[in-house]
Amino acid sequence: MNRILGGGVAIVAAYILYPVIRFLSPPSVALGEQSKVFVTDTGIMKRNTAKYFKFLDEPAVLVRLPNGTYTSLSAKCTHLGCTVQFRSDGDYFHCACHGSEFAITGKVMRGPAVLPLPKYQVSVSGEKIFVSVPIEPA
Amino acid sequence: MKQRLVGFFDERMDLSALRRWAKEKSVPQHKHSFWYYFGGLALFLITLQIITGILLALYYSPNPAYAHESVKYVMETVKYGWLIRSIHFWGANFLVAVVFIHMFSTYFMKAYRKPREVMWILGVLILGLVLAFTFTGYLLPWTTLSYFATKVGVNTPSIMPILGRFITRIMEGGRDVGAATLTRMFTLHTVILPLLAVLLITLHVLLSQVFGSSVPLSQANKREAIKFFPNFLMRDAAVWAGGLAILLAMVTMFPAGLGPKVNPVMPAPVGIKPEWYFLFVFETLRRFPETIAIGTITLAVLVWLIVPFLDRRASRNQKSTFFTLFGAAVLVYMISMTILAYLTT
Ligand code: HEM
Ligand code: FES
Repeated sequence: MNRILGGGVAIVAAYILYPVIRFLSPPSVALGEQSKVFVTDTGIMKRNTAKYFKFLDEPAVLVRLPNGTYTSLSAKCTHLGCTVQFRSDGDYFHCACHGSEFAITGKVMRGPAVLPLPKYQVSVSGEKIFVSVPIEPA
Repeated sequence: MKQRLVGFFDERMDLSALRRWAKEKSVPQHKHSFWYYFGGLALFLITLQIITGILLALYYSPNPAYAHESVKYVMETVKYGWLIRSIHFWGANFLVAVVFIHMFSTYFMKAYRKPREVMWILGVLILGLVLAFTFTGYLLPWTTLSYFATKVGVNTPSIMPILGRFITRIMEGGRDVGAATLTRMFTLHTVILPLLAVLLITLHVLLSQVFGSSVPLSQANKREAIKFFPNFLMRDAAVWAGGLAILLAMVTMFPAGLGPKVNPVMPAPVGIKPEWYFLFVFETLRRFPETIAIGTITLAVLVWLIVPFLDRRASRNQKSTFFTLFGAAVLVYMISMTILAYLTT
């Protein structure tokens, strides 16, 4: 008898808890609409400078390299999420929170971070520069 | 008049138990009695946080567009706004320090031994709540510093396998720290945590009345005691007045500042550091791989939580040097990591 009652209470608890837990976790955003964003016009950024922007709800960075080409990466440190800073003195990224450093390719040069910064795809159409998620994740 | 009032309540709810309690309760006196004051001081400071917090909530707006502005408004325009906010700000710092002192002093006096195991566990949970209060409150002014501190804080659990990412998502409320995080931290800070704190603190204080103050083993042969009412309460009140005086001195000399507003796409400023009470965690994260750092800290917290059940000698009223050394090691680690964090960068 007690077992049946206990089981009943557990089922009621699950009925209440399940929707609450689902309510707590935020709905995921559909990436389709925003998977490509306009960042800036060509000819605005000087060489060896960076522009920060929001992409997929997270900070991202567009860098104009010394040779004039562009590259774009997530600017969210893979350690614990601070926004990394572009260092024009050596073409790398530095995170002020715990000192991680990333090469311009995103590769980790110094910990505590372990994973590289994800790279995005840069496309120029006319005079406009767009950034998007690569089809094949790099 | 007073007589009639007391008579009125006495007839209806029998105050004799209360009277007996006030008459009988006494506090032991020995050379470590000084530490007994910190529990009462913590209670006083929490009350102050709740009062000033409710006042701040009247003007505060938990929305990225207005949060910083509303705190600025309190500081610059609202009459005595700077005072209320600065008390809340400094009070939080004092409270953390006092709760840590209270915890370590009861630890070294082995006050957690039987029958006070539950009081100890409640106490550790209350310290956790106080730290959760400071963490959630810190984001509210929506400054660059508070933004990145929250980022690191909400991302730390994600290191944990399986549940970690889920906890981070629930705290963030979105893909990154933003508007949803602010409302979540605000709700935690002003609704959920206060309810939990009142519940746990009530239990903790009730139990302290049931058991009375514990006497450290080394002082067990001392039989001196003073009456709680009015003697000890008067001393408590004097300590509260002293604490308030120091608090107000800090408040007037160094009113709470307000850093620049968040710009969510700008990089973290160089030299960024958490508040002093999180520095030992920060330094640990900087020096060790995060899985080891967080794993060890989590383990230490769990051991700390159930220490009354591990320290079997203390519960048989025997000396337990090992646990004294363990506590000392924890304390030395925390202090040296904090100093290291100040010295480097
Ligand atoms: C143990 C209790 C508490 C602690 C330790 C605490 C701590 C803090 C901290 C550290 C801040 C950030 C201060 C700053 O840098 O500006 C803060 C802000 C705030 N707290 Fe609390 N708090 C507590 C209780 C409460 C309660 C009970 C309420 C309201 C019901 C409250 C309402 C607020 C509000 C509205 C702010 C934002 C305004 C501001 O930042 O000045 N707090 N709290
Ligand atoms: S968050 Fe970047 S190094 Fe820790």
